[in-house]
Amino acid sequence: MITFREVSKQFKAGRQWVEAVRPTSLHVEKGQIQGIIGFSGAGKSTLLRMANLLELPTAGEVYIDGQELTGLSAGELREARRSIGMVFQHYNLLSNETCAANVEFVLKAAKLPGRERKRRAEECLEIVGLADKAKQYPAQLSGGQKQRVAIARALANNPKVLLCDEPTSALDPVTTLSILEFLEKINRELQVTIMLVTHEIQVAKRLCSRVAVMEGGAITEQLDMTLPEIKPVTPLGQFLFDTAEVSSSSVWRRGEGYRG
Amino acid sequence: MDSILALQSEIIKAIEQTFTMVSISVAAAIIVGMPVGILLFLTAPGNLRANRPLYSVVSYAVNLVRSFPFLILLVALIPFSRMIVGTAIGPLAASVSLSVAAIPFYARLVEQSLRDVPKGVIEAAVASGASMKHIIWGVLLSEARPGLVSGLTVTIISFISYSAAAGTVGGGGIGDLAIRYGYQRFETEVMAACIVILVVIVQLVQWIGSFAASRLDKRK
Ligand SMILES: Nc1ncnc2c1ncn2[C@@H]1O[C@H](COP(=O)(O)OP(=O)(O)O)[C@@H](O)[C@H]1O
Ligand SMILES: [Mg+2]
Repeated sequence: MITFREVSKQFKAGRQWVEAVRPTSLHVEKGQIQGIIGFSGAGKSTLLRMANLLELPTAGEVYIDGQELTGLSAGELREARRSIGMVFQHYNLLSNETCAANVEFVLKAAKLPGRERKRRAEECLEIVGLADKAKQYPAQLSGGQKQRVAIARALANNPKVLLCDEPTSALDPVTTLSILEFLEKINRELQVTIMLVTHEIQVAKRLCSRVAVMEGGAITEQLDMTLPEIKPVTPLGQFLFDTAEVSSSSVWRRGEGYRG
Repeated sequence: MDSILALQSEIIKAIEQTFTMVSISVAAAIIVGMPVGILLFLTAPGNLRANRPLYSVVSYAVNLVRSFPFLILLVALIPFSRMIVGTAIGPLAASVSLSVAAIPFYARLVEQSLRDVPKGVIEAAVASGASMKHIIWGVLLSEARPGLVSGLTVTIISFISYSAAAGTVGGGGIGDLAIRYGYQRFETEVMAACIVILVVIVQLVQWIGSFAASRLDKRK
């Protein structure tokens, strides 16, 4: 569903060039939840943002559902982006618009007629359990609720793919868990392929069917989370998976316990 | 008091003239200055339509007009005013120069307000496949609403004051009346009355502007 073929990205930082993503290939099958994990600065966001060309690759190609995005005209790219939802760490909602209007924005982008927009926006807020907040402004909501509105917005145009850049990194453990469960439900019920960037191993463990470990702009290993035992071979992979067992899992469980 | 009563009709006429000059120049600021401000924002380095040569040219032109002392601009534009409204004197002629000054003035304020729109919000709109027009109306102008209104308030107040200088080309207006009677003829009462009127107008504009800006701001 999502294919990166030898994509790379260099940024110019002052006089120097930063190699944010080194030539990387990755294929995500339909219906999967692909995690990308690594430390800050590893190039995770840059790789994710190349999936909808928010970041234009310096070299390489990106395919979504067989269509080469890197070869499209501006208009065709806009069209293609309508079937790729995106969720951000800081929600990125329109602060001067109501929750309903936030969802309607992307429906309007997809040229849905006015009356249907209203109906579909209501439906999307209903799906994320925020139908009663339709007329409220983002500032009146909690972090978790804002992220739900953002997810409703990302789902409004029935996307094939959902890109998530640290969607729970600004949230507390309990809220994180509910958002992750929700993403899982979307993946299961709506057959949406998800690519999710995180620096928290627990998030990856909880949600992903596959996890790519990223370091220094490259994917160093790809782990199948459906196997009974996960055996990372790279030092970073081992570090992430091992320390997670001891340190943060107790915090995690407490979060889980909270929900009863 | 007598002098004020005697000049009542002249004061009313002066208010009308100020009103004409300010409304025309502010209308020009909105109709032309706002698009120029949007253009500056979009073409600035790192933005949606980054275009360094275009940005530099427009930015330079804006700075150029803004660096002219208004009185000099007024005189320099006399031939231009004559060409546009057929005369070089009166409120309409003065409005031409005022408009020329108001356009870059508001354009910069618009650019500044748009810069305050969080990059991520614009990015979310781009990621949703929205068209440029939709992003301008639905994201930029919508999110920058409070700043755009505050900027407009500043523009209106500045141009009430600029319009006084327009008296020198026979533009008329309250400022002109204050100068002619108060300063040149030592009729302090008339000058005081004019100043009171200006103070009241400016306070009123500021009050309405601040109220509107805060009502439009849903960020809390
Ligand atoms: N727009 C940009 N301009 C310059 N450098 C950038 C830009 N975006 C990212 N980088 C650099 O690229 C590298 C990878 O960044 P990023 O993909 O954001 O990492 P991650 O999401 O894994 O924390 C970092 O060194 C970062 O500083
Ligand atoms: Mg990141």
